[in-house]
Amino acid sequence: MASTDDKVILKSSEGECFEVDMAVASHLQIVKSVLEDCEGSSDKVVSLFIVEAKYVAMIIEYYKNYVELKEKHEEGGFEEKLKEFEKQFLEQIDKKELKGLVMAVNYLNAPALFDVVCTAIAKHIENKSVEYVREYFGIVNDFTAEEEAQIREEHRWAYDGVNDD
Amino acid sequence: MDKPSSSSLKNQKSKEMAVTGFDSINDDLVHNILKRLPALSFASAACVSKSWNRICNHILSRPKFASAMSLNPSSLVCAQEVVDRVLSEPIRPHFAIANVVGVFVLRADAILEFLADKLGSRTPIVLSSANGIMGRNVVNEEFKEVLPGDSCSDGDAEENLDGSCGMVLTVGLVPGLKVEAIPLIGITKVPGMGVVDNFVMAIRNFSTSVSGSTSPLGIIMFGDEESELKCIVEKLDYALSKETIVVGDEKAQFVCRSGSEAINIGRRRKVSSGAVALVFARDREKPYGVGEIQFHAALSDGVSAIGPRYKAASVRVSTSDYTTWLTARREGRQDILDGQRILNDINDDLGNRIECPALFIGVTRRRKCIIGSEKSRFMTSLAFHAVIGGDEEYLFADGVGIKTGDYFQFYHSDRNTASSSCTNVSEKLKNLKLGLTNRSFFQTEDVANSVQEREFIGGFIFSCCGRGESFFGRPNVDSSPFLENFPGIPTAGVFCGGEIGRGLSLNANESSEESITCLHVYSSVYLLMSYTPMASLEH
Repeated sequence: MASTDDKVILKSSEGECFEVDMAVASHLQIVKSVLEDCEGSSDKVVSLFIVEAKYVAMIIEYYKNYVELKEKHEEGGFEEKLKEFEKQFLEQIDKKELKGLVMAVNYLNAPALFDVVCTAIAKHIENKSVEYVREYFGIVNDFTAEEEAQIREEHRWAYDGVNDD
Repeated sequence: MDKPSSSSLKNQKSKEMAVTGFDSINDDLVHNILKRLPALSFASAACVSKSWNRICNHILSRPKFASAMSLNPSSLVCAQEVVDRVLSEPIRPHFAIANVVGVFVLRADAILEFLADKLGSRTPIVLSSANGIMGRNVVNEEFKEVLPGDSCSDGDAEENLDGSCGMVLTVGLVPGLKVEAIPLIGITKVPGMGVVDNFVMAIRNFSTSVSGSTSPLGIIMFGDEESELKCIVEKLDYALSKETIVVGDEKAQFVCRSGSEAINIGRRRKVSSGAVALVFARDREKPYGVGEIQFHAALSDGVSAIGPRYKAASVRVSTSDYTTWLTARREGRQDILDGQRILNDINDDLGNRIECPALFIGVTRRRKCIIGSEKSRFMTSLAFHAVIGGDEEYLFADGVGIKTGDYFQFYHSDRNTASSSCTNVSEKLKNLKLGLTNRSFFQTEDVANSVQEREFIGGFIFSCCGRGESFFGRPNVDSSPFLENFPGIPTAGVFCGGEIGRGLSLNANESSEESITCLHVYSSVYLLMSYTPMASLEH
């Protein structure tokens, strides 16, 4: 892991700059590879073109805590502490932001947070109607009526016992 | 990962895309979210759009097992717990096996109905009552063998089971196979041959319609304790190709759903059945890209032969309790022995080695077999009968079907045999896992070449109710071959009153007598399913 003295600047889509420790930024695979590509260059600014500032801030917050907790709980207990933090972290993100965040994290290729956000989104759409899921993700139903009826029939087993919603 | 081109990145529109355009992003991300959904929500997600449907189908194109055990004393809570667990991940139930123990058998009808509600009314479901169950407990994730009381010895079984009840549920998704629950219709103690023929023909017809071959890949069978399964299994053995694996519980009590019909339900059964076969056949119309599922079976023997061979001199059948009364000669001798003398000799042989082993006679039967109007053929098999006792006239054995002139030998339950054969099975599974197994087990060379790609998807164990912790003196011996080699794969099982095991591919190289019997005593029968993806079959 890079020494903590190292800093890197992450630039959001709006052009806002965030100075972060290399130890934090190296969790973003895309940043890591960009820096490796221009090794030796003194310019340590990485543009995260499509990522909005609020998501950059969230991602930095997550990994800052991740790195800190890992250092603090080297002896063990890291995973529980991280879980605790993740819970609290997700509480301050609304459902709409989750979508933006997952795309940002996907783009930046940050495995640990990707896992957390995917799970959170899955949790959110659990037990929701097909219509809700479409609306939430902004997906257009491209089935014809017959196709949809057929697909629903294929999955009928799942609804056999459901009387409501 | 797709990196967007830089020109579009700087575009003002990109900001919007980052917020709303979820359908513009790659399938990988959707895949990553959907695979985390529980089964029911996953089924909804498949109805969202064409691309989501494609992703869902892709996730379900690999076979999957899910199994769970609950020991909750309330049958409905228990059923709910195991269902919730098996449906906690994406799966589409192609079949379900539920095994209950204890007083839950009284609620079998209600539990079956509940399962049909949750797993689909057209899903083949078999619910059997067993002497014991094994599986991973939903509460603490621990694998446990549960064999309440000494329920194998008859008498006050109800009392022993009081307060200890539970259920284990196995659900399977088997793309590339079709599964059907085929019941033997008609419940008589000794089913008429017409009934058995119809049953075997129904299995062959189903297999033919699905795969084009009369012999299916495998069968998981449950027999009714009221019904004598020997002749059924014998006929199946005769009628099916050597490769077909048949495993099961010979003496269960079961209810099941086949098509959308419930069988053995209610006190005045509308349709009643003495046996049910969950038949797995390869679908010749399986979608492109779906790999191949294989069944593997192994046997851990638990009896040892003792004493000389005998030849039945006289045979009487008691039709009231379906026992056989025998006299016999020692092989090569002329004098006819009564039950008392035979048992005395055997007890002498046993000496003081074992306190009180279970005693069986293994009868070598050579019988003409025929199905329908096809040409008949002689089959030799070894049939075990529990020894009930002997007096100054006869030796009493459980079951019927022994004829004058049949040879037989005594067998006794043997912990050492059982223990070492468990180790042996474990070793075979390890070799299978490492891809070291004899090539002849594989159906094609392609499969043999791709063993490294093989995944193991689930297991099921049928163990004799006389085994378990009290027999071995330590817990989880019967399940150890799976736990040691495949700790991560879903495994469940039952303790039962008679183990069916045929086509034991992993024992194939052993030239021992077990190869000629399909109904075992004091044994554990292991069924393992594996999957070889299409990609590795092609290369």
